[in-house]
Amino acid sequence: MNILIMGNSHVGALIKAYKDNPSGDVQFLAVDGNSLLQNLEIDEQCQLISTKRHITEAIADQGLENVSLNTFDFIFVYGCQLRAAGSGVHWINKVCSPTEGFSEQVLTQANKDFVEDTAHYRFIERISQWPLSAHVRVISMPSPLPNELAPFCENMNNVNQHNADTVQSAVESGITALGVEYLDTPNSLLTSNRVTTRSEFKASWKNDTAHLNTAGGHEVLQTIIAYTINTVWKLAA
Amino acid sequence: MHSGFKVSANSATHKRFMNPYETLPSKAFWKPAVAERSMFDMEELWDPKFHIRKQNNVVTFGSCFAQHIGNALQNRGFNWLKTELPPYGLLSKNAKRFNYDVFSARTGNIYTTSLLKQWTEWALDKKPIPDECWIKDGRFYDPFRPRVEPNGFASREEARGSLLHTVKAFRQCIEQANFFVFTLGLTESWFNSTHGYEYPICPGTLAGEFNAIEHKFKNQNFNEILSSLVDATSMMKEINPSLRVILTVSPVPLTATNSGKHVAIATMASKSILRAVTDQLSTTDKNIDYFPSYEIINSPIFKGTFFEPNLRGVNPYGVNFVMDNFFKCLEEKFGKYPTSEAIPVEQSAHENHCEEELLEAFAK
Repeated sequence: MNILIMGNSHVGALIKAYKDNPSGDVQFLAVDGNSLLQNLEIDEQCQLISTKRHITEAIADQGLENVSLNTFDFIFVYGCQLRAAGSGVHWINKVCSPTEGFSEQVLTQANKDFVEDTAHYRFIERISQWPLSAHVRVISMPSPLPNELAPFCENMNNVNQHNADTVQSAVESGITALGVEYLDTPNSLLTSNRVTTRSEFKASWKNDTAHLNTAGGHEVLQTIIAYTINTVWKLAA
Repeated sequence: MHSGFKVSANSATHKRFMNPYETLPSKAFWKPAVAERSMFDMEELWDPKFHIRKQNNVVTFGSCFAQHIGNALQNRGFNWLKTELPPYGLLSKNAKRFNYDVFSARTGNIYTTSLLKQWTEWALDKKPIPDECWIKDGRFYDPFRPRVEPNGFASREEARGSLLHTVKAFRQCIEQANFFVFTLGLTESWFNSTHGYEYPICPGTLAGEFNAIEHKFKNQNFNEILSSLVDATSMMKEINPSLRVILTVSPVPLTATNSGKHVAIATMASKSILRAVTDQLSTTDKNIDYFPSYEIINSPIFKGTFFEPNLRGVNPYGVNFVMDNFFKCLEEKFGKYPTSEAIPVEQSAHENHCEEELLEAFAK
């Protein structure tokens, strides 16, 4: 099974975990921010290309130059603000409710719009249109919270369960509507509110509360590997 | 009143008064103001009464054309006050589809001065808010804002809750605004004869069922329109004494008329009456001004240039031209505003949110 994991800085914890304990045939392609997802394309041979130099360098650094995406069985798109924020506020804390005079229809549309406006969604939308072989499975996976905007939204412990469920449902239905698979954050990483990362899995360097530490990366990686094995078993059965 | 006198050429002692036309500015004469100019070089089309400052709260309501005013204000850095905002995350195109960011609150089109009075009475608790709801294909429609929610509301309670929320937002607009901009659109109106309230569109056209006994047509006359507008603005001043009002008349012709006349004749009659009402009020009330968007689009000076091929919709050039004149006239009188790049209007009037346009579906 050949696995490619693409994304932003959140992939870093997975890379560290993989280096500590390599298991399976996994390759990574990650660039900070959203520029990878915004600038990645493929050519007619399904090889990764970009007009941005730092992305072509990242492709080459990871040995993915001249490699067809059809050589992979699983392509995971990880992180990249799928449950992110805007204007310094976190989406989960900003989910509106009918008590504020909004209709069910408009709230559903607002949540759908939020998902569809993320770099992650737009990339999945593009990748789902790429002419990949039928055996290549594309899986979308959000990074756990708090994310890179954590300094603006530290207090995620008070998040209301309705909002968390609403966001979860909007993310999952939005992504799967594109015809790709969706793999959620492992429960082992989360606190009881199901959205905040347990403190022991948060990165501890330079006051970074947004990213996972290596142990957290290991949890995500194991979830990914388990998912691929399960999928293969199901196909074989 | 005599405007002055001058010394006669043949006698240093003989003085004569000038007639009033001798001292009038060139804008008062057709030849220099119109005939000798390009239509795009017209000047002083409006002499604004009020200095609208960028930090002032301006609210906009009314007929379809009013939708352009709020956007133009916002695009030029003015404070277009909106008291009913879309939910977080909703993209701009969908916010418009759900009638957010169209007017200052989600009232939908307020076509007549009597509808404005009705909204004001609700907002100020002077009249109860009716509990009527229209049902179509299992969805629930607010008769007073039939197009604010695409496909209607999920329940009667949801429709009611949304209307109450908007009435509250409308009141906040009155309370917080420095300027209330209202565009008069129609004289033709539909009332519920049993309860006395007015609908913005004939029941049974978009949703609901038409009942010939209960639903009555009224083509309002000058006095009725004037009276409603005076009542509405007077009530607004009860809670905001310093509020100033800017009236405009929609240049958009009627989609359909129930008057029995040809639609072109009915349009001219309606617009003339509305224009007369605005003139009456703006010349007699120092707190009410009139901005001539109607004339800028409709005057023969502009040769119908600003209409879409159907001769009804106003094209984006027309909208931009009207709004450019709005700000140009303010600057001519009160001085330049701090520079901010204007974002031109790209959408046509066809993309506006007008319940009235739905009447076209009934044309044979």
